[in-house]
Amino acid sequence: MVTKEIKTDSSLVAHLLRRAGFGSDYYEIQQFKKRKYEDIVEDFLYPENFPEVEDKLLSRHYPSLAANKDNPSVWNGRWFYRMINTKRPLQEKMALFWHHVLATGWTKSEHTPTMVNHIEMLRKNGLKNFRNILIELSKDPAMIYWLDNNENHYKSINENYGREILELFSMGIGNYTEDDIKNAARCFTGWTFTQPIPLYPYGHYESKFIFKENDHDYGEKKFLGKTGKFNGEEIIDIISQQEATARFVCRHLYNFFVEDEPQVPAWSITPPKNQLAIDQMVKSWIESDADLRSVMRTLFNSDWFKKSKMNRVKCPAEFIATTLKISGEYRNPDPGLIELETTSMAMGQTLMDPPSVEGWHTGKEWIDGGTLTERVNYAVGVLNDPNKPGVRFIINEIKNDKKSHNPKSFVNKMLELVGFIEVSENTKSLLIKLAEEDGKLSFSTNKDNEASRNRIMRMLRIIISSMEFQFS
Amino acid sequence: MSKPYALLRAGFPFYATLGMRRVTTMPMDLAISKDQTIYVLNRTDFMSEIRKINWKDEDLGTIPEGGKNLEWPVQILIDELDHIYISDEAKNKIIILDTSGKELDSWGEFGSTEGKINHPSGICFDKDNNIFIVDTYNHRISKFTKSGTFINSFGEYGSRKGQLNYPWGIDIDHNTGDLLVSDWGNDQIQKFDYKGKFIESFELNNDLIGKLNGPAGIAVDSHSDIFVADRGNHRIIQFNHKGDYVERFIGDAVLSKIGRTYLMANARALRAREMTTLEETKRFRGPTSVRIYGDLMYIPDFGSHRIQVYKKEAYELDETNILPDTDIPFLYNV
Repeated sequence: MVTKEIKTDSSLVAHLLRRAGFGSDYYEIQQFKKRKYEDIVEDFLYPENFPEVEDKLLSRHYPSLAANKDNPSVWNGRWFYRMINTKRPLQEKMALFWHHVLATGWTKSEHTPTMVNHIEMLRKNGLKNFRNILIELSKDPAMIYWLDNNENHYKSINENYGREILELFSMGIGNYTEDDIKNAARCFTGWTFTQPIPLYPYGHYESKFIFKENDHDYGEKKFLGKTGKFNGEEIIDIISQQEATARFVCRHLYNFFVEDEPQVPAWSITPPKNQLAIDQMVKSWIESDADLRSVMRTLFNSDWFKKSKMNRVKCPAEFIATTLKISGEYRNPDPGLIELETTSMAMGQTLMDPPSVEGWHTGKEWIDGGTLTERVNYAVGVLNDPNKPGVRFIINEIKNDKKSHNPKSFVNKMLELVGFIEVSENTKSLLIKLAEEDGKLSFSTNKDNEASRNRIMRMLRIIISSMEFQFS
Repeated sequence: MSKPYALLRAGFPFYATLGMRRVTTMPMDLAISKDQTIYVLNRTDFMSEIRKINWKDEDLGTIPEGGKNLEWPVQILIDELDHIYISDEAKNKIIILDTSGKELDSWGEFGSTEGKINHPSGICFDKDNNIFIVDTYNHRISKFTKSGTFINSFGEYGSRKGQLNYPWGIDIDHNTGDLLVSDWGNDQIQKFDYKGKFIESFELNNDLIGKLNGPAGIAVDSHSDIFVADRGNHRIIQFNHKGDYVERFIGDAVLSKIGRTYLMANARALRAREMTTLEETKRFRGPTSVRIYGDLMYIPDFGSHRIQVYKKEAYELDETNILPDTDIPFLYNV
């Protein structure tokens, strides 16, 4: 389908949808490209203007979603379902981003309700002011237990959360002292959670944040050059105002949304790949008083973002969701969503369970011999079925578009149909050479029809097995 | 059996808790065999199975082996031969097992034309031993013989009277032969006669307790009282035969015997329970079904992995005991 009202290049739309969301199918791109790029970005920045993913039918067929939070797999399945079906792509993507940065995991507590609520907290706050995010994080039972703040007492501090809120969640190493860590920890004394009812015999129950006044250190503290009887919220105010915080978080944003950076431990000794980009985001941060929406607007509307196509390795969640968007699966609550957690795990990413407080290592570290095999096998396994709605759509589009029947056009059209992915000249020439081996596609007889369908399926398998398909 | 003229409703107290997580895990529905074994249909996130328990709260094992026949089972019935009938909305089948778990038969063909089904959910037998199936995604009720021969169907998609929107539960009022259907998507209950002719619909519209929210399983007792698993509100709603609201049940569980045994051997869990309030452990969490056997109401408490049982205490009245039926309220000291 070709519209006469093209306002935005399809390739740019596809790029935005991959980065601000979880990819797109061909039809979705055709709809979006009728609109101005900046307008699409604005819509993404205001997810509350669009309906939530319809959960009622999903929780009918996955009934535990309406009854308890015992099993992380079904909630991760629900997250994949949201990634695929959301009308609020950036909201889900920001939740995943913050999950990478503010890494909190299930394994230590095995308490699914707090992890499910933690992800929901990230979803609700992901585009708000950074101060909001840090306050909600500090009051989150999942994080409190993960970093031992429940053991941080007035008379005996545990500095784990005080350290990580500075080192990994805001400023980055080298911008604070050991005394700042200890004093930050003192400010969070008494921030703990209610004892949940145990899992057995009747399943998990939730825990809530509570502030224990009699366990809080009300004394004077020195923190980042300021002195006062600070509490946790006041500490977060100070942290949010630091330029170091802006630089650290903006580099995280750049790494996740624009271009793979080195791993975080190297950041104190390795400059950003694009200092100008970081500077522009930091300027937005400071001018907006740490408003994430403003920073993300700057990011998506920048030239460096628009030119950054296909240079980030998809994380497993992105890889799975983008593949399923092409296949057209899980537009309805069908069986199998729960297995997506295991699929993602085999590729190195168990949602709701990052390997450490440092989160997942990203970029090329997603890829090794084992995970690459998993990724390629998964994509081929999913898409190597002409009866799946997305694959059927691809076959019909090629069949009905006679211009795409000659080998070169066939390759170009196929690359568009799998989400306007851009491949190297070398890859493209190999694809064209392959297409030329059998000449022009034909659908004139049953025999031709079957042969052409097989060629389309083979071309699809090869494209999704290409190096470029691993990238976003 | 016939419907009494009226009832003296003396009470409907909580009676018992059975099962626990890992035994009655995520119970979707239940049925009771002639020997009083309770067959609990567990639909866990990873697999489905039937767990057998008894009134002593003993775990009598699982059928079928490894849950291999079942994918997304919704409801379970046991007939007079102790054959077990299960609707499976993923397989689009009715699966028939014996009490050892051996598959005796399965039937059902996916589709939307007459005689085919799409996501079967609620099931009930009629007096002739035919089976009514809630054909959810076709928004209709279909009747088959127990061996799977199609008889007829009724209903269509919509929100007007007699139309259905992803219906879930079904039961038959054996006093009248009427069918009660929980119309999940329209948050109401619809009544049809035995041939499928629409009679009436009713919803919950009560200032104090609100409306139905995704009604799931439904059951009718020998007094023609109607019980609905108001799943989205985590409660059971009781209506009388006219569709008037009678009472709600929100859950009053105590520790089951098997749960108590588990806890007595687990010091950490015992301490955790001492450190918090346990009030919410009484309540239902997302009940998907309600079943009536005699004067007992069984609620598979899906989210809390157990069965809660209530006992109805009601005395049948005749015309000599009570004034004639009226809609006119009155103030009177008696």
